[in-house]
Amino acid sequence: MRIEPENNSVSIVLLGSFNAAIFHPAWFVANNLLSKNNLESSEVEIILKEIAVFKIGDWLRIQVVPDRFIAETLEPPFVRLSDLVYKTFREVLNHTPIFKLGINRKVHFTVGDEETRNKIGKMLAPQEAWGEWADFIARGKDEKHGGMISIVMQQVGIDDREIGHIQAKVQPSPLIKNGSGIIVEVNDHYEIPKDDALDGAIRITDILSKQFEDSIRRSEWIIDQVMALKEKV
Amino acid sequence: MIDQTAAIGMYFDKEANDITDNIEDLVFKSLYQGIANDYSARQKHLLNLDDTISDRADIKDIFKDKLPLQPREVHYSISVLQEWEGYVVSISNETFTARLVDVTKNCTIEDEEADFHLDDLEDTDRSRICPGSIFRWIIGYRRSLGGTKDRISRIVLRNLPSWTKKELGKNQRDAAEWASKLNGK
Repeated sequence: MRIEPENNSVSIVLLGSFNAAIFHPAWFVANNLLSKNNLESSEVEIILKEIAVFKIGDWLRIQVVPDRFIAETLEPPFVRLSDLVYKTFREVLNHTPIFKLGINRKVHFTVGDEETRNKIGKMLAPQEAWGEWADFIARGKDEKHGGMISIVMQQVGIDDREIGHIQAKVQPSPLIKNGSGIIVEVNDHYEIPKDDALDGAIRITDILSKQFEDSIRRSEWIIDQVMALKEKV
Repeated sequence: MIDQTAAIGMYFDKEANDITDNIEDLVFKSLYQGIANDYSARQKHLLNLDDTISDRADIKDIFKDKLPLQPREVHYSISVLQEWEGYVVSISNETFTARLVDVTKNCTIEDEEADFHLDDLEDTDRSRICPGSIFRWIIGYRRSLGGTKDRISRIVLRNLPSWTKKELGKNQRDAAEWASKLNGK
């Protein structure tokens, strides 16, 4: 990517049926999914029958509810996250019905100043398209003005999957304080027919294993297209 | 493009089940709220409950500062300049030798060999490294919010599932088939 990110994350989201209460750091250690050192540095936010949230430094945050499993990392190499999810649902919980997978790449970066960011917003969502309202959007009051707050583009009919899509969302970044920040978040979404998920997690983990690195590479390429707008404004 | 503070909630107009992107914290906000409501209702009837709750703590105290509504803030970010996958060929007292594939360039053939200090590994990885171990090696920059930049190098052993009997059987059959083709039989 042509601009160094200010904040970098990858998450893997699985949709299916999960027993949230078992997802404790000690359970991961007992099943050789995480090391004992990880257990010592783990921080449990909450673990109840229907919700589990814990993190291990910046390398791992796990969130589980009955229909959703989310693993997120802020630290490369990102393949470590894929290995953890793959091993969890391939070796230990392979009978878990899972029918949807999201491989998500999110980057916050700065384009230098707020004016440049606003110009990029206008390139992505020209205000003239809003007709007479455009004047009111641009006008605002004092130093405040309106503009694009979120835009999502979607690609469908992708050769590498039976069902699924790629979505890219662009928003202003609340993490970068001087108004120069942009977030680009790419959701690479895969599905299998629900009946196939009754066999367990095999098909989805196959997809994860096969697609993860290509997905991250492609997402970074998409993010780079948005970064390139800085040179065009 | 402008900053926003009021987008929460719009996602719930969609069928939450279909979404695999990063709206997770919004889903959790809803769940926390549900748990908080249930807990408050139970507190009202505490004397009738056959449970072991002894403290009438307010739900706000239980979940204090736990609602992850903002993006996770970190004080640094790591940008990868180059990444390799390697497998360990040999190990001596202080070092190990590995063959490497350049993942950044999307290579598939190992064309480099390098020696690494065992001290470069995390303690857990050091105790489980052996010939054949697969690892990732990244070099990059670690940038702090203040703008300080440090060059970093990190080696992480991969934690892959063991081969199953079924997979080993299939691999052996495939290998036999390829061998037979190579021998022209």
